[in-house]
Amino acid sequence: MSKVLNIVKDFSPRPYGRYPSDGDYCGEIFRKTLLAPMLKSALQNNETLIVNLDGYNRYGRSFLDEAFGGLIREEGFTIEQLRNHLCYKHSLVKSIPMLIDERIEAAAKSTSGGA
Amino acid sequence: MGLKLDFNTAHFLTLIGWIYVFYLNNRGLKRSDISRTKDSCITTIEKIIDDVRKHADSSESNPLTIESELTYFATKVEMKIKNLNSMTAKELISAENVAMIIRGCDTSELISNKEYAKEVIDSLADSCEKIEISYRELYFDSNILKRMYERRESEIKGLTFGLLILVSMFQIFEYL
Repeated sequence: MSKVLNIVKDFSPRPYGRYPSDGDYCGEIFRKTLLAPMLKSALQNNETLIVNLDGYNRYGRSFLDEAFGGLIREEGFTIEQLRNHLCYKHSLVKSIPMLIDERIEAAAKSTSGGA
Repeated sequence: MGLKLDFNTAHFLTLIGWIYVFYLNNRGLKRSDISRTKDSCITTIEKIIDDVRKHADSSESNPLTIESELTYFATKVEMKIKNLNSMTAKELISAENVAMIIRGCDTSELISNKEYAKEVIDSLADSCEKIEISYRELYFDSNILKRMYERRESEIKGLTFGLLILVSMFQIFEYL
């Protein structure tokens, strides 16, 4: 079983920035209001959360780092939990999921809990 | 004594001639299109290098504004290189890896750390070189058979496999 979170439809057509001071559609708000609660629910029900990034091609590093890397740094998830229960895809721009991979790895390295 | 050809042979030779002219024309157009796309990829990357250098030298740059600019270029470059790779039927350079240099750039670090900015610029310059070198290897340095094999690898393998099956079948029928 899996749940799908579509960023463009469920959050904003133009997500941007890291903190609320950067705008209402920043990575921190996305993580706190949608990503982390849905991932927690997926973990409890032993499901996979699929984050669909399609529809917007200019995701910035700061947004992706705060949203996905923040799951480990701020929300306390481990990298194994993310590997087993979180999936993200962009059908057109492959460097976006690649960057998310990189930011999750970096967050895991920077915190002892994610190792 | 002039060479006399019958009507059918003359038409056949004319057709072969036209097919050859069509092939040459098509090949020339495709090559110029590939060359234009390759130049366009390099120009875009060079534009990014200039932008990165400009922002690294300026103390008034805003990291988020630079990031917006870079992400736009990252997507643009990734698409262009993907087009180039599919036109040449060979991966001249990984589109995702080049886009990652740009999209993954830490813009706060870019402004404050000259060494980091230099690393980003060097990586982008390496990508430009790699595109030029791969393009040159594909069209000028390797011999025609190697080039043909690289570009039509799957078709050649399929043809060889098909022929092998046909020969095997003939051999089996002869044996029976």
